[in-house]
Amino acid sequence: MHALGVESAQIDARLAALTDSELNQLAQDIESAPAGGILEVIGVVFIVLLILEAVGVIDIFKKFP
Amino acid sequence: MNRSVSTYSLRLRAYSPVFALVVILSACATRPPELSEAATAHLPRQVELTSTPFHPQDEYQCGPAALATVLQSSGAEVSPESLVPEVFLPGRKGSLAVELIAATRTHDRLAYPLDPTPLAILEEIAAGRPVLVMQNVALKIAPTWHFAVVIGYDLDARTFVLRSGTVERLVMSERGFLRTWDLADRWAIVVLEPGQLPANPDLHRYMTAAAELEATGRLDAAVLAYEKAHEHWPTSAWPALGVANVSYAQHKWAAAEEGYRTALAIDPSNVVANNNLAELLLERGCLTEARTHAKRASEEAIGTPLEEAANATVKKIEQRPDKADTTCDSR
Repeated sequence: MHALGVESAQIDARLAALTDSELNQLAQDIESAPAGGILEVIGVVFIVLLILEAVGVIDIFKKFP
Repeated sequence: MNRSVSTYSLRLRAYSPVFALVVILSACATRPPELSEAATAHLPRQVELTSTPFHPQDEYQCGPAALATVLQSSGAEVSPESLVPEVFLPGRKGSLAVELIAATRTHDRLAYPLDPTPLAILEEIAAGRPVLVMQNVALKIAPTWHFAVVIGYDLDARTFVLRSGTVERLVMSERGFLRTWDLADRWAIVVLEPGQLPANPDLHRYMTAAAELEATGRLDAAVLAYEKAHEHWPTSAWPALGVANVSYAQHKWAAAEEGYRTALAIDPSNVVANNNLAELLLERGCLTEARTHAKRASEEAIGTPLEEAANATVKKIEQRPDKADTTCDSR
């Protein structure tokens, strides 16, 4: 946590708030677990998906049979 | 309804650009079976929890913002700023789901993980509770994780309404939302006041969440949750056992004893209740009854991980120098 920029004063309280199994989980994947953080880009992404769909790169929007 | 759509499309066939648009729109409208008419018949067609607070997020801080939204909705006094030091990981430019759950407990609230179905989200919103969700708003191979709060839905328009990032009222198509949610393994929680049940409560999941409150020292909140569980699932011994164990930890001996006896009235073979009641009775000097419960515990514990502890209790009682009961009222 320290390496990831959490202030020392906060670390103890944050670790104390976790159960044993959560601590194990965190110890294993603090670097790799999904970290939600981005600003709003949903609109952009959706348009990109639509374009990819339209030019046939991906096929996520199923057609009617 | 299908017939009228296809007639309409036929008429438009000559206008190919318009027709193409109609095809795209209708192609977006295929619906997961979980949200069929039959599955959602018990729900209002539209709900929007308009009084849900809105906190536009600062850079990378959708975790604290979304968590503040649901915590405030459950009556907790927090702000996104106060939650940043509790859940934000600067080095990851974001927050982890496990820490959002931990911070929920820190504020004496129970984090209840929802079934991974869209219906579960709808049911909570219909019950008046906004739902904290994780989304992957990019691609599976290049994920971009995001936390947002679902505050409404419209079954006819097939949309979800979210407090998301810097957008106070983001309306997403059902398909669009479900795709981003699918890509985040359909992670969703509701934040409950202790003593409140979710719309569709599961004993095991609720008790796990309550036990996590207990394990992290939120004892008063844990007791309220256990008591509610005991009321809702009167045939399970575990909630009463939970009340008893917390009372024991708080040195409330009479309440603890009552809890263990309640648990045993439901399930006389419960190892933990028998063993712990035996310990309590031993401390009170009620050796005869202590022995009975300790023996029952050790018999029932044979072959389980609790066997050793149960045998130790039996031994402790036998080693007691005074073998006779002292004053033992039926408290």
